Amino acid sequence: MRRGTGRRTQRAGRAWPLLVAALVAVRPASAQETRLDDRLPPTVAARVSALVDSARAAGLPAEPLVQKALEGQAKGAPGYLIEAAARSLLHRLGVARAALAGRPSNDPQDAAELVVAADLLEYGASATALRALAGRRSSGSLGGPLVGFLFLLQRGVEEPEAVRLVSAMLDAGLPASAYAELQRLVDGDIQHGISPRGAAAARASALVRHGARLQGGGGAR
Amino acid sequence: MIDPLEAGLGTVVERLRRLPEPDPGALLRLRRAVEADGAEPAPGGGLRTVLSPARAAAAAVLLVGLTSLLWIVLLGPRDALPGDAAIPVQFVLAAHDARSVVVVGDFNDWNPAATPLRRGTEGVWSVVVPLSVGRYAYSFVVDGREWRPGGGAAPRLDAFGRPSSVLLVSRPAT
Repeated sequence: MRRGTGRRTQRAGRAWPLLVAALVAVRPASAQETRLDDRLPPTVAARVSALVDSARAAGLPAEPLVQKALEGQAKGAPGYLIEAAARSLLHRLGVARAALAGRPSNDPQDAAELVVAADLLEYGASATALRALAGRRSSGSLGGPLVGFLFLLQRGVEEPEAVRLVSAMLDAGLPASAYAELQRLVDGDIQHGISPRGAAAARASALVRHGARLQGGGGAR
Repeated sequence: MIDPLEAGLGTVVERLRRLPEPDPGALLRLRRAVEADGAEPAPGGGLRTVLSPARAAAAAVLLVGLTSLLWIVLLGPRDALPGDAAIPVQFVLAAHDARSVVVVGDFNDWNPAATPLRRGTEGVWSVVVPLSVGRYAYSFVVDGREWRPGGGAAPRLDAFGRPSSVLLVSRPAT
């Protein structure tokens, strides 16, 4: 009796790790495949799922690929375009990680940073520019500076100038809120007829000069 | 028996209570200093930051929709919130003649039925969505057919020929 119970316990003991491993491995994948299967034609869903698996295998964030496919479906894009967009994003994520010298990570903030960098590459930014900004990272996330960089490019500021301005803000150790403030101020200036380049240069240098006040919280109120 | 969800929420609330008091004058002082240094003062449009009456547990609530890119920055130490803590983000779009407005994006699987906006005064539509740390692409859909990016930016068509915007929700710097 006791020997039989022991064998059952032993078998159960061997089975548990396998069961847990199977659950961990299968659960996220099946959830994503379900979303793709529900919204995309079967062939497109299968191809995008293969890209999702490739991203996981490479340690890249996979969820952006699923979202890219769902975005394409919501926007009425044909299947070949959805697949091409997901494939392109996978490639850009790899290039972005190399440029930022990143490593596989489960931190959502690291993933966000990587996807913004991929956005920048899609917008035409160079990997050299990303490397230049990543090289100035001291601590904390590069997400805010990268979004600031994307904003400047979108407003028509040339890449070298945008890199120079964001680099100066990075060197000054400004918080992410400073990049949001840069956007607000530059957009206001543009609405007043000031050139994007001139507005960006003036506002960025002013933020660099006064940034310490924002972080320190001291001074007159 | 303790409900694990309730226990988790209790931990979050306790951590939020320990967040430092934000300095409400800091941003205003910076704004004044920068505007005195630069060109004309910025108009009322663009990014707006709204703190809830009770500080919203030190989380910032930003109005999305008047800009194409924005940041959500929590005020407090990096470990003050768990990585998956949801931050309330308000999406706003001025659409006077619209009969319906929805926001679709990476946070709702681009599902046009998931997040409708409510019409407020003077044709301003809004909705609050709790979001975790991450980067989100999003777009507004007006009357079920017209795709609009978040305000201000020069609209740029994506790979699918429709405009969209980018939203970054991040933790505070250490």
